[in-house]
Amino acid sequence: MGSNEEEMNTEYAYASGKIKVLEKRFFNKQELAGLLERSLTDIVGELESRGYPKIDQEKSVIENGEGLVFLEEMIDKHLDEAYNLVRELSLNPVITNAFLFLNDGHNLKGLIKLKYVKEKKKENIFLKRGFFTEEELKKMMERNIFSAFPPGLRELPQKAITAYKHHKNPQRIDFILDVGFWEYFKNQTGENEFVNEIGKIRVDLINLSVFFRLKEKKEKKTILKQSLLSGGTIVKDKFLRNFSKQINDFINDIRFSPYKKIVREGYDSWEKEHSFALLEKLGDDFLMNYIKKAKYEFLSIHPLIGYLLAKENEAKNLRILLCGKYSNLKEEIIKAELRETYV
Amino acid sequence: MRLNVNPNRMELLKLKKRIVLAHRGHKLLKDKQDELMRYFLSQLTEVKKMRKEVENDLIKAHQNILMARAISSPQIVEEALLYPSTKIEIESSFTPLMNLRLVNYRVKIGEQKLTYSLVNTSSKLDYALDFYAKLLPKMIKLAELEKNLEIIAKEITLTRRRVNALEYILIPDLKETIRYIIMKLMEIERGNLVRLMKVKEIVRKH
Repeated sequence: MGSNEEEMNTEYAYASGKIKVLEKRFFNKQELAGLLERSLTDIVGELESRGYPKIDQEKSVIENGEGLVFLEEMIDKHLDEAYNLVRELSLNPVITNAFLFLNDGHNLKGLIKLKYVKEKKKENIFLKRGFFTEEELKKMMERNIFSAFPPGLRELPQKAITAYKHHKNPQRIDFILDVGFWEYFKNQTGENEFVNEIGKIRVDLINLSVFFRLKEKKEKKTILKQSLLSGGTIVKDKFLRNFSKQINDFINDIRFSPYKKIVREGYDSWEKEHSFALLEKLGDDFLMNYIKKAKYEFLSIHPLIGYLLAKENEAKNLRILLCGKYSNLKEEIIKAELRETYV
Repeated sequence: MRLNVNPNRMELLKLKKRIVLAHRGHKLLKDKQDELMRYFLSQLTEVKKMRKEVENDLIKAHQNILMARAISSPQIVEEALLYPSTKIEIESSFTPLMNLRLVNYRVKIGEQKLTYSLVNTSSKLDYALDFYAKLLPKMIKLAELEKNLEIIAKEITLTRRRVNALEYILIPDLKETIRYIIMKLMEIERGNLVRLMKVKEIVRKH
């Protein structure tokens, strides 16, 4: 380890310590399953005791169907706080910003689509955990100037608008922004092996999901070509080559990749239930098992990234649990949907 | 209640004609009511069954969309659903049934396109939307059936009131009035006869 790197690493001592303390507040799988048996008011109390923001609502409001919105807001605010904390603690803004820009990508998609949807609705479509605030992005949209974005991203919104105007298909906006923002993410995080690997896994899992969903919908190959993200371990060509073939051919083609088991089990589940839910769940679990490595590292940015993604995962688990409870789903169904936890 | 009419032969003839008409109307309305009732009951079973099916399917679709929100985050699903994925046209026409105009909806669902990103969204969203797409024609059919039932139910109520009015008010009143006029005429007749006999007797005495 060079002296410079050593010096930089020790600067993460405070951040790592803080994150280690906060990690103790994570729910493990047993605790999450335990929440299923508790009332919604109890769950709110438990969340508040673990640092989630308080919600000022009556018990009756929480217990009825409307309560879900307040709980989703509570989880969302907590996730925003986690992003802000990581942004604050990070000594490598290039990596943390790459995560934030992905959320900006989503917000931009919403803004561009809103501009062209005839019936304008003021619904909650913006994530508050981007690099830019919603207002800053709106101003950029009004002026049609995106120079505040770094090179590699700043030309994307205009490209998406032009493509939409030409094809009159909102999916073009998604194609351009998704591919562009993920490519930027991969480029920015390429130097950090851990984050780069996370990027690769996420790209692979997204591509797998896109491949199966488009195949099920019997969409054209061109749609797949435009939807696939670059930078994964499974090359795009493998997806394109196998799009019109049998699934078993594809599974055989990826037999040496770590996703073979996920794909096999996910596909078997689809044959039985016509649902890719298991494939997505196994994919999320695979990613979480990789991220868990960050728990055992101290003086680097890895625990911060691990914490951030674990918070995203916990938010997902809590939303699944609460949605399941509010819609009176059976416990076994909710448990089957719950993802692997960080702790 | 007796009608307020002059007790003369002309009125009696008029009332007799009215009572014949009232009986005929009553029979026709009664037949209409019976037929509407039969149609209503046959449709009611189908509507009840369909509503139950639609409600169950809606619950499943809502559960899927809630799960899609949970897996991807509410904002991502809201953004994904910002742009309509298909164009739907509903044409309405009318079918006549016993002087009623029953509605008939025809749905034209355009080609369904993917208008959202598959990168951020969950496959649960695809299922929920497919579910809703399959459910929509069924929901419109249910709306048509329920609207028609409502129209028929209103007509049944109206017809029943008419039948009852004829059966319990107009026809008994007409009958009572006719009986009254006949009695009155008979009384006049008897009075005339007595008067004639009296005149005859006076003439014979002189």
